[in-house]
Amino acid sequence: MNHPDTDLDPDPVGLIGRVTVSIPADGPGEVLVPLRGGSEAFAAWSAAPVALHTQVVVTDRSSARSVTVEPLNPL
Amino acid sequence: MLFWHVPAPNEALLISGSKRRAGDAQFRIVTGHGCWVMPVKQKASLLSLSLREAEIAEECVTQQGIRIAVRAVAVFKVGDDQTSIANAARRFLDEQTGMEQLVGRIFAGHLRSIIGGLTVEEIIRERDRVAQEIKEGSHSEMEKLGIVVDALQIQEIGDVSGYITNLAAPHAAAVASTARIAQAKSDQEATEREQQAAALKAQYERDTAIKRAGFLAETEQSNALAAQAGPLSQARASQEVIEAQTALAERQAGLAAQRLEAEVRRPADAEAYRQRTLAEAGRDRTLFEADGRAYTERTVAQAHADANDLLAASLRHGNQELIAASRVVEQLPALAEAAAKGMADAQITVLNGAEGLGQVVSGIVGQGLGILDVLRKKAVGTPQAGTADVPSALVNLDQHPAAPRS
Repeated sequence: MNHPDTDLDPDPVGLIGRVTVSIPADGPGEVLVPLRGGSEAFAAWSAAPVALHTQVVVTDRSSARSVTVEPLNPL
Repeated sequence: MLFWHVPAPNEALLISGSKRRAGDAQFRIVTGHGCWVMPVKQKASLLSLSLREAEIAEECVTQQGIRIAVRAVAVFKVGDDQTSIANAARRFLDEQTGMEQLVGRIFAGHLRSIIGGLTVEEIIRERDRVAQEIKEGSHSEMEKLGIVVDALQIQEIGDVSGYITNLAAPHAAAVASTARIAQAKSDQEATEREQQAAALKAQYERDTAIKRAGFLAETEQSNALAAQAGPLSQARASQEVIEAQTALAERQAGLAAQRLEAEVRRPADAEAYRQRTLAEAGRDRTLFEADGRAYTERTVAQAHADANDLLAASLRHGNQELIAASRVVEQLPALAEAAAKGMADAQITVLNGAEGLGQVVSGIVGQGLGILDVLRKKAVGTPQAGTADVPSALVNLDQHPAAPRS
């Protein structure tokens, strides 16, 4: 997707968010990602179920309000 | 400024008519800052990005097929990204006031599918599960409309079929039962405590009564002892007095006895001793006198006998003096008796009394008889001597009593 106005439409990929609705295996959950000076909620999918309040990394953006996330492994 | 347009923080400025397009969009979207809008050539419209609210009341059927009446509130806004603003602008720009109603109707349909994927228990208890269902059910459609649902709150669940009431009934009954049990238990405990308290009270009362009785008994005992103490000590004192009096009487008796001893017996003894001594002296004197007299007489008689012997010897042929001597001998018992009678008539007090006197007399008589025996033997020893001649010889001897001796 082409986003010419990055000021209006920043890319959440690579940002670290927090799960606000737990992500089931086959459906969307919700992550809250700090964006545009505030925080925005995105529908989030994941390969494996992610529990509530888990720190995740946004790996991909499938649509304007949908992202794919991976749990952030504390190394 | 007429041509300088600035959108508020919750607004998006949509500028159409410009040739400078952003990507595929036929209009320019400006947020957060102002921009020039050429009059006539360009047209600027504002889209509110602020929060909106839609109320939904819908009868739904849950996963278990239970009919419930749900009243919910959906809180939504136009998304802040370009896609959402573009989508929303195309759909709602002229009907921004009717947005709530439209979204409400859409959500009413979605609510059916959301509720249909849940059970009553999940609706009541699991917020996360409800939120998941909302996301799943409404996300793609809302994205199409450019709307972000911030919250969908189920405000009220109407219990049309009575399921929730029935769901609650066992628990309510259990709670009521527990409450009643707790009440009964506490009543029981309270009663137990009361009974224990009453029992303890009774026990303490009993103990107190026993102690009181004990103290009363001790007091009465002490009183009785105290009451007895007077008479007892009086009796003891009386006893001591009597003992002292007894001792005094004994001492007096002893004194009287000693006095009697000293005043009566000793003098009597002394008197008796004196009299006995006197009697003994008298007796001895009499005895000695009698002895002396007897000796004298015996000597005289001996002399007479000797004289008679001599006379007989001289008168071997005559026997005159021998006959006389024999006469004297025949007279001797009478003589001795006369002497004894004289002794008996004597005015001498002899301690041995009549017996002592008898002794004296018998002694005298014995002596006299002894003398007579001697004389008889002598007389038998001289059978030649004739009895008829003795008195004359005796007479002669009386006339010359001291002749042979002197």
